[in-house]
Amino acid sequence: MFETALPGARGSDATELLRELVRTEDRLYRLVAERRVLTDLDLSEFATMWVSFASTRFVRCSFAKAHLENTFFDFTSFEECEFGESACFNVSFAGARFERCSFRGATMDQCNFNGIEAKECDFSDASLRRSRFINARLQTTRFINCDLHDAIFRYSLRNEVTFKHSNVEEAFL
Amino acid sequence: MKIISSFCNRSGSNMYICGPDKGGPAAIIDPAPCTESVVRSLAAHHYDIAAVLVTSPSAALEHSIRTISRIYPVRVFAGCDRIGEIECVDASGQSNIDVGDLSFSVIPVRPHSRFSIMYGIEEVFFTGLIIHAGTIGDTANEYAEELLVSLVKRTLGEHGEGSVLLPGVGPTTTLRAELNVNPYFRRQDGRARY
Repeated sequence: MFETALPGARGSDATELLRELVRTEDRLYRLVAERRVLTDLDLSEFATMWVSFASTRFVRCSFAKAHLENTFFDFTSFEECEFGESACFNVSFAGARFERCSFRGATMDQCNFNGIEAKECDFSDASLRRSRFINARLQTTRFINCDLHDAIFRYSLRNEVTFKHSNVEEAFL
Repeated sequence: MKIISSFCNRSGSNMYICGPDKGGPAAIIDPAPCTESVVRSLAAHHYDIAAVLVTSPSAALEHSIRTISRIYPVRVFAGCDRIGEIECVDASGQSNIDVGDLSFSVIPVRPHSRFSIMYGIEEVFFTGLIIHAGTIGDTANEYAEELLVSLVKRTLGEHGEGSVLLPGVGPTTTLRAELNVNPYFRRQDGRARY
């Protein structure tokens, strides 16, 4: 496994460094930025595959229009982050904490949201086909007009959560 | 080593191709019907499929394996010696399967079924229907369920919690995630399942 250190920096320098670190596709699974605090990063149109950001804290970062596949954000914390219109497939957010994050219009099919804590998040207009929210704790979170085909919310705790106008065909709510 | 994952819409399952960085003999795990993108991907990586690894034998795999075996001279490894009309190498007694430069560890998972096997390489495990994100596969009874959870903890735990689990259905996950959020694993730790 390849391991690299990323300074817990903020702004454009850190953004460029992060882009550079994940650019090479010569390894299966790289540890990038583990246990770091990353603030105000513009990761829009970012593309990753087989990269792990486990236990990292993202504050006010933008993943808008990012393309993430087989990427691991396990036990990561996201505060005021933007995932609008991003395309995620097979991304693991297991055990992550989301606070005031927006996923509006994002495609997050077959993603692992098991055990997450989401507070004041907005998944409106998102596609979450086959995604899993097993054991998740959701508070004041909106799933309006979502595609929740085959999504699983088993054992999740929900408070002020709405699924209005969503496609829940074959979903386990 | 590189892993290419492919989702099959028709069967709703995941298929994986695992090969060396610079092309050569590769293995395909739980093959789904070959799509154009898979064929293109194999060509782009200069992979020759030399082995098919099956986690849980089922009739649904027969057609895909037959198609692959008409293109590549493959050996099929499974927990039994036959899937339909396809002859297999019974891997349940082996500790490793070598495919070119790659060596896959073999972990029979009898609590799931007597034919079930997980395959590992480095810190990556192909778990098929045995474990998938947030749950485990069907077992015959609760006793088998407990045995399955114990076996997974014991065998995969040796490789560290950062181990990546690539299931046959649903999203990718890690051992750490399963130990902490999967209700079946939490229950065995004495924590609440619900």
